[in-house]
Amino acid sequence: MWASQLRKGVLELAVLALVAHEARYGSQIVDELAARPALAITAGTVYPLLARLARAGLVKTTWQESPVGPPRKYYALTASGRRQLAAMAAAFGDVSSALNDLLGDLR
Amino acid sequence: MIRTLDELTPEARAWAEAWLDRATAAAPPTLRADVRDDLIAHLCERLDAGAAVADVERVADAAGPIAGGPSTARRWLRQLLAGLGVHDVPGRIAATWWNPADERVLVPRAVGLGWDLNFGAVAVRLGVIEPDAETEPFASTPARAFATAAAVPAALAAAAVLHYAVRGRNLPDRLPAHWNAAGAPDRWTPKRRAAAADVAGTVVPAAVAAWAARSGRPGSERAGLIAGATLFASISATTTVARSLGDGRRAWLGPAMAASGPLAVGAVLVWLARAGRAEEIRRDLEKVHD
Repeated sequence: MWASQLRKGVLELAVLALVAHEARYGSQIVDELAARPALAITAGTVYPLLARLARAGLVKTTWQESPVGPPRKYYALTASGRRQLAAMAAAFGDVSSALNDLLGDLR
Repeated sequence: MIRTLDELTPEARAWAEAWLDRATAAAPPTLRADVRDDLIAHLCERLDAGAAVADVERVADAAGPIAGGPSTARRWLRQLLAGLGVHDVPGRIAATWWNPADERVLVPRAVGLGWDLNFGAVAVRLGVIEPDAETEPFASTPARAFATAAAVPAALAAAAVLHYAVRGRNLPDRLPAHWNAAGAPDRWTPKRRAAAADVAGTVVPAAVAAWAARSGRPGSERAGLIAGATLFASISATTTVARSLGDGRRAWLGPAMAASGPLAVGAVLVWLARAGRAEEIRRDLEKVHD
């Protein structure tokens, strides 16, 4: 329960970081998150989040032709998404280092 | 975006003030100040300090004609509906019946208690649309797709009218009004009353759908109105068919009557969403080729 709350809390950061490297399409984002068991989240959580990020102007969407099958909708970071990502990454870094410090030799 | 109209150039500000005077003249005196504040906020949100008169004009035009403002009775009604949690019903119906990003097939009802079918989740499972095909459901759906969707309740209305006009004389004087669980009629009604109910039950929804398709309301509201109208029209049309079957037990009648509404609504919503998806794709791919 606690672990899934933690995953949900950092999901937005994970998705922004994923599309920061290069534009990715929806099911690709779901698959890449699933490939990291610690971050594995169902499509039912990822798609509403992507819609929210698009509405907030943090990501922009573009349909592109696919070499196989129908066109795909790609998600890419906008300028304000990039700023948000930087702020979130900094905050996460602070929390992470503070916790590492606290946990220290307990692990 | 600006905070007050003072940030505009003197010419742009003068034009904006003159427009505000004209626009609020029609509002009831008690509401004029509120309407003016709302319009100022509208302008401020959409204008920058460097805006030219033409920019202000464009934003003012886009705001559309300002109506006389809701009457006191209508304001009361709106507040009452909002208090009961039933405001923005068409938009909420569309968001509940069509939410492909949500995997749940049964979702809490748009209005009232219980569960509604999320046709979007069903469509994703059937592979007819992607969960993220439209960023904002029905926002990109073109006007002609809404017009086509509104033709469904219109066709049902035309069929009901034709049925009673052409076959009416040959139908028995009393028609079934209710069926038991086994699909046999257990209550009867005069033919005229049945015809009036079935015609009204299809013509009124068809008129609502036709109005919604042409209205400038947001896509989700138009989709919700057309979907709701389709549901009512298909229930009435199925009733017309069931009445024309007359006496006798038909076990398939109950399931057929229960399924016809959702099937018609599902088809209309899929059609509207796919039209929106196609429009988004066309726009993006055209940009690439330009």
